[in-house]
Amino acid sequence: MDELIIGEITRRMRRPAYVGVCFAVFILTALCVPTSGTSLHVLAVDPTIFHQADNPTWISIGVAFVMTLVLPMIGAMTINNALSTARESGVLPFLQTSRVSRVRLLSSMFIGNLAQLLGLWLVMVISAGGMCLIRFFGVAMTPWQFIGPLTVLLPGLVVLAALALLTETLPILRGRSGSAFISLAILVTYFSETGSGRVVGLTGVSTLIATLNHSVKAVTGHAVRGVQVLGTGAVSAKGHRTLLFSGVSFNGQLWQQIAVCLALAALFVGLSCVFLERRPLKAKHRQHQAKRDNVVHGLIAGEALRLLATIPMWLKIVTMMLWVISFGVQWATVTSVMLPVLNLLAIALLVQAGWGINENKVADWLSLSSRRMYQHRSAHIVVLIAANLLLNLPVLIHFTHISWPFIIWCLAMPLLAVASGQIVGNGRLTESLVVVLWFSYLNGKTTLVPFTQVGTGAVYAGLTLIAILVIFGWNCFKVRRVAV
Amino acid sequence: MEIVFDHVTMTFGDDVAVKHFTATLNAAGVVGLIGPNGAGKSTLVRMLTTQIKPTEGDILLDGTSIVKHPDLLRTKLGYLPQQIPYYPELTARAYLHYLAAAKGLPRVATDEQIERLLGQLHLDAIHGRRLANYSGGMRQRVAIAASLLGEPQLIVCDEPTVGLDPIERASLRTLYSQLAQTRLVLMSTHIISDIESVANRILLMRQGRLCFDGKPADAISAAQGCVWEVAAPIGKALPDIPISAVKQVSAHEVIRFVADQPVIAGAEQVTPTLEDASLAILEGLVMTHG
Repeated sequence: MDELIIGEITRRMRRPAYVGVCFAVFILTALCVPTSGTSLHVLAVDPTIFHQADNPTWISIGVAFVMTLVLPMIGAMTINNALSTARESGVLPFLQTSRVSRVRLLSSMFIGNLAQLLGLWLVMVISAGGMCLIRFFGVAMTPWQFIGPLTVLLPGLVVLAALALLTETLPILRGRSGSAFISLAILVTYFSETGSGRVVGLTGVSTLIATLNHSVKAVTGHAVRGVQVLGTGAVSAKGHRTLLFSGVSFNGQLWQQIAVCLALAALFVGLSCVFLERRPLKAKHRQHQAKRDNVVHGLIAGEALRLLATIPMWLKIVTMMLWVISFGVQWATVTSVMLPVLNLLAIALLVQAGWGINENKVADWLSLSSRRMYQHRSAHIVVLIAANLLLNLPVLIHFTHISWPFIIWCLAMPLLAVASGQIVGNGRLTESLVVVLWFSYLNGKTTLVPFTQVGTGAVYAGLTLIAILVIFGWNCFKVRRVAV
Repeated sequence: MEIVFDHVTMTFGDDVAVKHFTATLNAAGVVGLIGPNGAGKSTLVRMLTTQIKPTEGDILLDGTSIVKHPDLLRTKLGYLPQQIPYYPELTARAYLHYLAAAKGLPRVATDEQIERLLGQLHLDAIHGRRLANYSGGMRQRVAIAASLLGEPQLIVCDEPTVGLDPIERASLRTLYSQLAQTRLVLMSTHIISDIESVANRILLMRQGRLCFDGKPADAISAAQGCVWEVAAPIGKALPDIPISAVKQVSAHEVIRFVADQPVIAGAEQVTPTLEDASLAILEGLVMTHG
């Protein structure tokens, strides 16, 4: 194999974070196995007709249904820095001083992305296979019945590997917006394929639905009437018929989908070659800020200034304008439009939470004195919480009395962002989670933001406590690990 | 091979990093690019290595503009940047193979060259370790090996001795001297002792301008009569003069300074070193231009 590809794959696979992600996928897959008689069910199919999750074919189709959304999301977070790490490490600028074939370089990066995604897919298959053995040891199923539903993810992963590369080369997306764009693209594609029935086949969920219908039809003579993926609540246990899922059938439409995916991937890689910078990118100088030479006294003011300096001026102006407008609009407009838009714009700030300070090893230096480190971390959190409360002030003033659930939510968001940034070491997890939250909110799951719901508020209070434990306990763990 | 800097100017906003730099490099050997921090050396190197385009002027390789045709130079260039590029997850050998493949170098010749470079730079014993576990000096040696991949005709190094211990520095000087027998090596540095013994020619920069272009010996002879030494009690207030060295000797210190006159009583004229000469030129005491 080409040394370039070997190098790319090796450097990706050896990242400690990748091992962590593989472990997370393994656990998640095990949790995605359909069960019967529990309040949280991964997959429920016509419960009045069929006995639920009573054979191993349910495992692979249940896992596939959830993972067609979850695996690309996790995968996107994992691979969406291949080129930026090459830029930041100086390797790409170094290579640009020699005559490098852009096609070879980006093709190897695409293969590196794909290898990482296939690694995650393999972990998912192993975990699902293990669950089949644990849950249904000795129960027969054909290899295709097991692996077939899981293979539908593969064409989408090929597209994702190429799309991640494209977002890192397109000037408009190669900054912070790339991860958010991919997360949004995955969500939109997944839900459009589950909703309309029109099959593009990028995620593979439409193929799973077809397989589900085909399997149900084989038993009942009609298409499926009720399906629930990742639902809660009691499921009727009246059904007594056994539903065996057939493997995915490779018909003309499926081959067409695979061809479309491969063509899209080739197109994205080709476009990446076109858009990859020909000379090293200039370091972003924020001269206007430097020239002002603001001298600030106090840690909180200094931290506020540092965080504000990370946000582009145009974004600050747009956010400020929308924020001012939000005070003058109706409650319905605030909650349905202004709140999600303002909070989506605030991603630029939240993605800095928990890790941005260490870009220049400042946090490492501060950690030489535990007091200074805690002072700085507290200032960081205070600034983020204050910013989030201020951002959501247009909502808060609409309440006739103090809305504790909403205030708790305002506290929870920056704290969770700090915790995730601290653990992952970058803002991609935060970015993806925030995008998923607001995408779900805009698609009707408004209860995710608790305006008055005490129950949801309590959940966020619990998450807040966990985040605080992570934020202040993480360094103790790191220090101990170093000592060992 | 001939490289011509033709009135090269580079500005960043209102800041002029390099102004009307004109020089011709055409013979094999080591050329030292010297100047204090902020003199414009790194900017000039970045323009020469086709990373940035000059705002004005042109850089020509054998008569063809490398600003317009950067690939012409890229095929002949070996570059050692100031910030060492590396992937921490790879071993030295894997990293060098990766870079060689990215540059499209032929496999068989590259394998042989990588083994030779690993030995030459004393990396053969540690090549199995990941670069994340290397010291700064070790990584610097890997970067030097990377810059020599593909037998480049022009080698440009930006502060090549940073992070190296004295033995490594001496060994690097020897290596570059050997390479310079058939190639052009441009070493940009502010540590004059690094190039004193190896450079055939020096280009001295101050505030973005070229203020000396010539042989080290010419710089030294130009500075004759401008370098002084005086013994003074420790802590004695001194006039505001450019001091090139202070050496403590028992109860007093020997101060070496550059000036056109012995501004401190009892100062004696001494033979200049390249460092003294550079200081004298940078301070404007010697008005010479090659």
